[in-house]
Amino acid sequence: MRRGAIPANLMVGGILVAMVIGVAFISTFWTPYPYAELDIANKFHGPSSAHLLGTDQLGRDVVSQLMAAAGNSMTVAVLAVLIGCSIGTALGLLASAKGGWVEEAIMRLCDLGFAFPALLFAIMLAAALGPSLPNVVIAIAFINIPIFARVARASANQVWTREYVYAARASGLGNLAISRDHILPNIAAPIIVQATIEFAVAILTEAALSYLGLGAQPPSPSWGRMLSEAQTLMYLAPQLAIYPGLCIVTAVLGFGLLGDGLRDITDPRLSRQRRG
Amino acid sequence: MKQSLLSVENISRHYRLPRRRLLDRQPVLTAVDGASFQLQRGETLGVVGESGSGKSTLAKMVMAFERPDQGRVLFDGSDINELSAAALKQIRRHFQMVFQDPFGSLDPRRKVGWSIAEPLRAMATDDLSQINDRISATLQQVGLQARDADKYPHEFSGGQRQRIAIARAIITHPALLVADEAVSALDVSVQAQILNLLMDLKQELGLGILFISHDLAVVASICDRILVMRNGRIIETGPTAQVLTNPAHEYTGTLLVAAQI
Amino acid sequence: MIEVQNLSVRVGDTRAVRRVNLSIGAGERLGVVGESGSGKTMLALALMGMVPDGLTVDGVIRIDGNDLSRASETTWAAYRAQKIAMIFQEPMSALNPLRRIGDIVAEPLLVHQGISRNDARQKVLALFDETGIPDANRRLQQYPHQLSGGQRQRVLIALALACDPSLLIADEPTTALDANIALRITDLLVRLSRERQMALLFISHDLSAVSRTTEDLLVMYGGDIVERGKTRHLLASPSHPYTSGLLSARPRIEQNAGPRRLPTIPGTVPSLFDLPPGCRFAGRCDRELPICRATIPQPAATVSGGFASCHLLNQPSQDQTGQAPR
Repeated sequence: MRRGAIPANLMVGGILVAMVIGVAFISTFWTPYPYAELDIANKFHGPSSAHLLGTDQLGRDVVSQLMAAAGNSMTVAVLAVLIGCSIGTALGLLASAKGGWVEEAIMRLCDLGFAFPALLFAIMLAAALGPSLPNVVIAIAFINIPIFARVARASANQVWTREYVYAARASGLGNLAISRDHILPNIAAPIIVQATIEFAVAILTEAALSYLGLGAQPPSPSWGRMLSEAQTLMYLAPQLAIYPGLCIVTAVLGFGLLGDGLRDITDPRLSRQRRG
Repeated sequence: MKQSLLSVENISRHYRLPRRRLLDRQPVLTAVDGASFQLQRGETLGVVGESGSGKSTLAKMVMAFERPDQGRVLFDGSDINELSAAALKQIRRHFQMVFQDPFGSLDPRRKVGWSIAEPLRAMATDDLSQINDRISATLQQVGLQARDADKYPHEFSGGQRQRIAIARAIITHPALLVADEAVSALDVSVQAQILNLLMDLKQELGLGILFISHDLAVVASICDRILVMRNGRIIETGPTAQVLTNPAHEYTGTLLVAAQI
Repeated sequence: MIEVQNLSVRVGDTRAVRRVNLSIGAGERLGVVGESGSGKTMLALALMGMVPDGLTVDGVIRIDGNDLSRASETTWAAYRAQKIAMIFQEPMSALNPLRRIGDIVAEPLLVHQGISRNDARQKVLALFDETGIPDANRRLQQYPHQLSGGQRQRVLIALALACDPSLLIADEPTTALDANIALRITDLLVRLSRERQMALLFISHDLSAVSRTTEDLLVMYGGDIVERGKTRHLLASPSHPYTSGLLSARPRIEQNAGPRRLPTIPGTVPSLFDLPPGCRFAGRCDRELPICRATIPQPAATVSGGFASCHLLNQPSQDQTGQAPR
């Protein structure tokens, strides 16, 4: 990889992600209209200077709703991935450090987690805990744990065989200190890459759960719920389904490309070997 | 009777390999097979053997990185595999190790001073305020400068990194140093410097050194006694001059021929 | 066979290899000895037309009379397939672990010579026989991991010989091998060079491997050839302080000798970007003259019948032989 050349997927992904995050951030303090403001008289408006993307079946401004939904979506994804990543990485590090039956037990539990279709599992959890955004966070975090545990353990197992880790053991450092000082910094790259990709999956899962009515509850906006509400009006106002759909595609594609791009530049197999 | 610094008594280590087929018996690789030897204070003992002869596994067992399946490793009279985790941590300061790869044995993300002081922090019994003085003194002892502590490993050449690795190993004033192929990856012009440094440190600190290498010529130039390993067994042991002039085992003879050219 | 004139490899303004001249004829064996950063691997890559992106090659490379210094990648690829072959230090990583040995060695035959599968198989068996791989029929079916390090290096040599190259470049072929296996590999290379009238360029940091394998020798340091000559004479009476320092710093087995301090070359191998402006060995040399730091020494005749680039050789009052020969 020549220095300075940014791979295309990283660039496109970065731009899309920056757009989505930017919009989500702006929505926290400004939207063109309050997203829940009803204006039945002006329902099903087409795009106009007052309402850039028109209004929905209750006369709410579509742009405002999409913006607020972006905020919700990002919040859910950030929290879910952060929680799943922390717990999963910790479990993976523990498994790698302890080895033996501890590792075996943790990894078999992870296999169990993988055995369930992730979305089905999230539906089950959200249904059991009751439909709400916090429960969606928990559900998504939960399905992320085994993913990160596996990535962390696999990467950590490689680092444990490095000579500087042996040197640290020879110094008398315990497993905890070695995991903190040496293993974690050296597995950060694959974890971050995985997190970016899981972020895309989390956005999609949140949309799916909200679509099914298990996520954001009215009037809290969500791309998935906007999609499900627009579904019954497909023939009347197809644009109401297209807008949130495009938003989901943009966000998922952006994070997916960003993750792929990050993996390309951090994967040691792609960097050239140095020769004397 | 004077107690040996290191006494290895009939240790063996087997590795189970994956089954070839589902119902096959699990194949077992014997890495070390009934090895015994003693190492005194201030003595350099060379272990020479080909790759796969079990010499690195031997080093790992002496360092308590791996547990022997059989036999005992006594350091200063106490069996290191019988000690509690806390007690082992305490005596680890007395035996340290230098590795082959001067590029792999230092964490690339840490400053050199941080890496060198790691054993001191791990013990936490020493006065932490003196750590910086200890780092400076140790760096100078291995022929580097005190200000090198603030640099990163990539700023040093291979030979200098090996000096850093040695500094980390001796900062706790150990009694035993295990050097596993410590000069094999170095350029010839630098290798001699490191060998001389190890000899000087042995003199100054009264170190016992277990020096492991595939290169008989290197071992012969630094060690008081030599131990030849093959297929996990120790096939010959004796004072360097005796092993070189009058090898008891045919295999040692072939090693000698190969090394003399 | 191969002729190189004024070959330089540059990274921007920094020369990794500086104005190298060499030639190897059919059946000749030339050694290049040097430490890390000496430019010896870069020299080998330049001769293969495989210098990494971002580096520039100047000078003339002539193979069988054809100038390749301006050749396109396709021309180089054709030469690499048919005329020049290379073997590497680490035999395991140079072999695809998922392919059978027989298929790996047969591939260039099928691709470049377009011979039938059956003929290729016969040729591979003959190559295995020639390179001393026993039980050739069974080996065809095996995978790289089932072979020992020495056998893998033999497979790589067989692979390199598949298209009957006129030049074989061996870059540290014995470094990863145990001493007595290394002996057999160097013997094999000598024999193959003789029998096939093949030019051999043997690159190593290991003086004993080089002395056993080659007739002529280049000593490289910091991208320069500091000394050249007949291997035997050069090692017996080195003229450049670096060569003699290298020879005496090498641990050697001496009867009845216990532990002893070795003579050393002070300092460390300089980085490419940090070379002294004059003689590249300046600063580490124990016989340095005032002129050394500023002026690049020109090659001068040595007592061993070769040439060395050292100012000492132009100082008539000085002892010219360097340290006493061993």
